[in-house]
Amino acid sequence: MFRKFRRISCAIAFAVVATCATPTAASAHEGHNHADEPPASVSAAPRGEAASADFELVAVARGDAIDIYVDRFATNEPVTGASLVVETPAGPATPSEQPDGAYRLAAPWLAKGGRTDLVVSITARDLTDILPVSIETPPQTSASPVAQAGLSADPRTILLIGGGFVAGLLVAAVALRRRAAIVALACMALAGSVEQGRAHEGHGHEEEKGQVAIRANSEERAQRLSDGTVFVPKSVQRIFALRSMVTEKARHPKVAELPGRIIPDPAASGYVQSSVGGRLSASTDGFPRLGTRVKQGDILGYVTPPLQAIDLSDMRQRQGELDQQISIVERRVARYEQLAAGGAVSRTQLEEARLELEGLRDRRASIEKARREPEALVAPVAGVIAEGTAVAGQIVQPSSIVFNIVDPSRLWVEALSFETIEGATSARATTYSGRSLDLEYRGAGFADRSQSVPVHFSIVGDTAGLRAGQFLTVLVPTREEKEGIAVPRTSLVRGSNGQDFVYEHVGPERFAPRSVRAEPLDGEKVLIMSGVAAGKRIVSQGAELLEHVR
Amino acid sequence: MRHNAIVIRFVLLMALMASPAGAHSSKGPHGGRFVDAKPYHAELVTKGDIVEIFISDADEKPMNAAGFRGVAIFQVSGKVERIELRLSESGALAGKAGEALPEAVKGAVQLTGPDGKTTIARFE
Repeated sequence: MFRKFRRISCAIAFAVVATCATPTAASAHEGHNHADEPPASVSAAPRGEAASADFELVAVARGDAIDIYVDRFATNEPVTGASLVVETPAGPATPSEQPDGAYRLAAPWLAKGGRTDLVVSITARDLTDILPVSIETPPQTSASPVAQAGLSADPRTILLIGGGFVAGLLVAAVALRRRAAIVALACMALAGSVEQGRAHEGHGHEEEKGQVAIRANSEERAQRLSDGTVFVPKSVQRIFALRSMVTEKARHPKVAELPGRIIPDPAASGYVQSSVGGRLSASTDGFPRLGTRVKQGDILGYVTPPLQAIDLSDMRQRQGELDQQISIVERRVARYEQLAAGGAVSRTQLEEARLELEGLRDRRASIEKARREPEALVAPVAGVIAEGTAVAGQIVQPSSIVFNIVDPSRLWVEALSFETIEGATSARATTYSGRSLDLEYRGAGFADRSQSVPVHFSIVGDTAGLRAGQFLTVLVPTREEKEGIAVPRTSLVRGSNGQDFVYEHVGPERFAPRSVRAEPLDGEKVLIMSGVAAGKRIVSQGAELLEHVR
Repeated sequence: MRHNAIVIRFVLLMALMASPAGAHSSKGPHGGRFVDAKPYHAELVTKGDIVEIFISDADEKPMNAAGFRGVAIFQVSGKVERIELRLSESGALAGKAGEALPEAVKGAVQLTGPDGKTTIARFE
């Protein structure tokens, strides 16, 4: 008897617990079925959008204010410094520009909730436009939806509560046959109380609501939606600095990709070579170090040719001979001078003897000089020392390169082409780091070098950061043409599966990935062959950031 | 479930964007531009500097504008002009612009119905 009573009481307790748990479930369901739920549930804040040929506008309700974001339609560039007038339910109002570029409008009339229609007129320098926008806000005066659902006498709720009670009884009937039933009962009771506690927290006081609104605002973030598109609130778009461009189909010359290497301009670079073998010695300033800027004609060092033993003996012999001849001729000159005074020797003979003496002395002096004077190493061009490991006392071979001088502002590119490039006047090159360089065609070799010919280009413009010998890819336009959509290289992102994507700006705050087939066009652009139609807005800057949104 | 709702809303939004209000624009019974202004229809007739808005119901049946208020915001020679509209003798909302309006004037008209609810008619 007692046992039966215990069983019945337990069943009732079970049913009560199950009943308590149901209202929360009912309310959760209620919320989902709400037809006029705020449209921006993905971003928490209610919002409205509008677009025209010039502008794109998003209005976001934040508490009792509206933030209006105005961007250029085609480029997604924020429109700042514009004057806005908003036709509100309380008459025309002028929003104030915020430091983040948004236009903020006090909107006390949002409190009543429902649909609010606004007409925003924009005057931005030379453009004016009128954009109507509607915002759907939830009513703020009534209690929270959870409390509402719990108290309302909706037949569905009653049905659910009744169902819960019956289900509880059934579960109790089955479960009470086991000892674990007490544990289960305790767990359910606990769960029920937790849910109830939550429901209590949800009771809306105005202050709490304000805090929630602030939190929603600061937590506004980009999200990837289930259909693969990316929702990026305008505030985040500003941070990402997203820009777009309108696609245009056009014919572009096909490009040939060639492997290339930076070489110094032959007219502005040079070698410092020794013409004789000898011992290196520095000039008064020492040897120039790598990177030292030198002027044309600067002496960079000396080479002193060593005197071989045989040379030395040759030289001594020659010196002796000359000395001997000099003393003979000196005596002859002295004698002639005496005789010439008396007229025994003609003046001509005396002058010849003098000239001979002079010539002999010169020869003797030059032998002395040749023994002492080293060869100066002179910079043939102006530039910087690119290479060179000169050490004092080092013996250099004749014609060995002591220094390599390169003018870093004048660099060329040598590319290898498998076909002859005709009619190329300009080309572009990209370095491994993605830097793009403008090139000017200089000429191509005619002699085949391992089945290709060298083609020379000069680099136009800034060459800072480049070095001789660096590898790069040269893109040369050919005569063939291809039709497609040219987009910046930064538009193209590679997905984790290796596929190429671009992001289409489909709505003011929506971006859809589009799978494309792309080919290189030049250093900065790629040509989309298929996957995107003309006249679409494609993200040209910040696509990489969109790709990372989860 | 929630995501589905988002997707549907998104699709609807896209559909709305793809078919601008101008697509609905046609000739109205008064010879003006006739556009959708849910739950009504609005016809814009401009004659010199006079602006008239004729209101029809959801079934495009003409109705008296009594009880309606309206504000027309038009783009006139590079400037934005705001025109208050009042009920006229012809049963339309009428107002006077500062200067003569072109026939294809661009702008929007905000209508406030007798129930206090607002709607917008967009003229592209």
